[in-house]
Amino acid sequence: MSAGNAQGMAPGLQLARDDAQARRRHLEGLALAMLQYTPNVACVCGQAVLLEVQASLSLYKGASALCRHIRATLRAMHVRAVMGMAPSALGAWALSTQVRGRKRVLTMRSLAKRLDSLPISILPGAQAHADWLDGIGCRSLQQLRSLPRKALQQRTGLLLMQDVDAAYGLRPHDFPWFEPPDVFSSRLELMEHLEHTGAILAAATHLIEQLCGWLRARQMAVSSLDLLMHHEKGRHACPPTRIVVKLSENAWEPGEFVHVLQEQLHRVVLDAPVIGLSLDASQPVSRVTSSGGLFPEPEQCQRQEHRLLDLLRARLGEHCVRISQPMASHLPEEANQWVALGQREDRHGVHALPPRFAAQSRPFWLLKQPVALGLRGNNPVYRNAVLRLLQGPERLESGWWDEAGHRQRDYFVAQAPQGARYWIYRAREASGTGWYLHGLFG
Amino acid sequence: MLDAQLPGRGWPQGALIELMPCHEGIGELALLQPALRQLPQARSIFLLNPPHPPHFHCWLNWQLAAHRLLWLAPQNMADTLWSAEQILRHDACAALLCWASLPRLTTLRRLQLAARQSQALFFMLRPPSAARQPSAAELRLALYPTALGLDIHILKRKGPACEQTISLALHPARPAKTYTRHVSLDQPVPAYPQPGRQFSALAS
Repeated sequence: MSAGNAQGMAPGLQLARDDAQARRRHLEGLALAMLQYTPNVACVCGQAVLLEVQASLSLYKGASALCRHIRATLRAMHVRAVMGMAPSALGAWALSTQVRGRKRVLTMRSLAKRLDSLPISILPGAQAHADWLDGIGCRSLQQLRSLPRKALQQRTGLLLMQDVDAAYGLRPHDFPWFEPPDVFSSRLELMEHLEHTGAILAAATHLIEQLCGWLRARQMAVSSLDLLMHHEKGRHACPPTRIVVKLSENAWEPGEFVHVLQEQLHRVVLDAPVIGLSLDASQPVSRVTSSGGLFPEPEQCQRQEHRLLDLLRARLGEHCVRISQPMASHLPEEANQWVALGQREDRHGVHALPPRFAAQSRPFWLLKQPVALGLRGNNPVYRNAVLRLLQGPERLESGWWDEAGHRQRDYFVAQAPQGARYWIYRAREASGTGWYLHGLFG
Repeated sequence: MLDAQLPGRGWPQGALIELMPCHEGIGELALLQPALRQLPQARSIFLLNPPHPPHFHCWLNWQLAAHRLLWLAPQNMADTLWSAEQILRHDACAALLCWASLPRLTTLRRLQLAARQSQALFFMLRPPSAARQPSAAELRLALYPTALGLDIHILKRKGPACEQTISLALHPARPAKTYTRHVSLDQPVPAYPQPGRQFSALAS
């Protein structure tokens, strides 16, 4: 169909130049992603990717389940493809070019039956003799096979008969298998300028699928990815925006990266539209495989927790997921330190832990800033209620070497008339005395 | 005593439980402490959006040091509810305590559905004004402080409604050296009729 015809039929059509190199790059990217399913992948005829899946069938529990997985990958990559499946490579290729009829046959007999009804022109070797075969009234493959073989070979050469045999699975067909590169580094030039993170995520998913194919082929895993978002060059050039997807353990499944990236993209503010993406995997390590068990195991639960924490950190920010890091100090506000989960050090270890007291001697909540209490008579007052001292005093003196000064406090457990309990102290410092509320008994 | 009133004789796992203390720091966590101690130690306990910084020393005193305590501090309510849902969906924690003021009913229903698919103990702590709103929670308790512990009203539970107030003594008896010990008057009284007991003719 010419360009003019196409424009006439669909007025809104956008035509792109047929770039053989871009097409080859696209196919190779697809082949890279398909390495997730089998190590034997080949690009054939410049328009198809061939997968040898004999060994993968039992892993994926059957042909239809495998097809479902492959289709999901293609959908995630936003690639539209037609799939054919047959016991011979050329047969699968022939089926995938058909518009109607079954595209998936699993036995040689049904393949032969299906191929018999197809026209000869689907075989690549038949192109040269198409007119001659049409002239002798030989149109379907069944008719071709019923012709005397020796005479046909003399007239058409070896190539046609070899193709027919290969399609029917009578002779093995050899393909140059696709070799994954030694170092993964993939770049995607976008057709449009992207301004929304949703579209960027879709494009990045394309690259992540390729990465996962590469990881699978090399038996590797990574824990951190570098995603660079390139902006327009020229007068308004600005440096590429960089996103580091960090996981707490090595991963090789696309979903694990995509979920974390999605949350990180939510928080990114783009300075300029994105025209290209590139993905690098820094420091891949060889994968440690473990066999799956029937019953839930602690490691499995831990992996699930790591996944959850990665997700939470990506969305909320590193500093919002905190874990306690007790410091060796007598002052409760200094001892009660919380740090981001990744920054915890076991430097002080067990020595930093204070002795254990009775269950109700320390409050569960420690206020960020002690609240100054009023006085009624000699008793402290909080929220208009006079507090009654129940326990104490517990004298605490510390920090005379500090800049903050020598802190001298008497801690009490006090109770309001309604029954709630508070942890309060009386400051005995030279600079000022008074009652303060420091904690709540949760 | 509370266990006897709860459906299934304990805190239900994999369900949304709402606690509505009349204000913070009246012992709502001390109420949960025995349950938290029985949870598996391999899994973490999450505090999501707590009102004040938690004090690790109390955690230690409660003999919970072996459990890993994580404090999540999201910036806004949407992030809080999103985090709660993710935590429940991943089913990777032993318990989740979430402080949320006024989530919408649809959100609560989503959380309840997510909770049902997980094994975690899921408590949501809300202000007392929330008691007037409808909720998808399986169990709703209102808590009031007393001199010795807590008064608990069960607002909603599976099965018959619970009319009576349950009194729990959380605090140990006062130290004897400063106060003389009395028998407390705040003892719970079995006020409702027991099955099998004959009523006098006068009462009817």
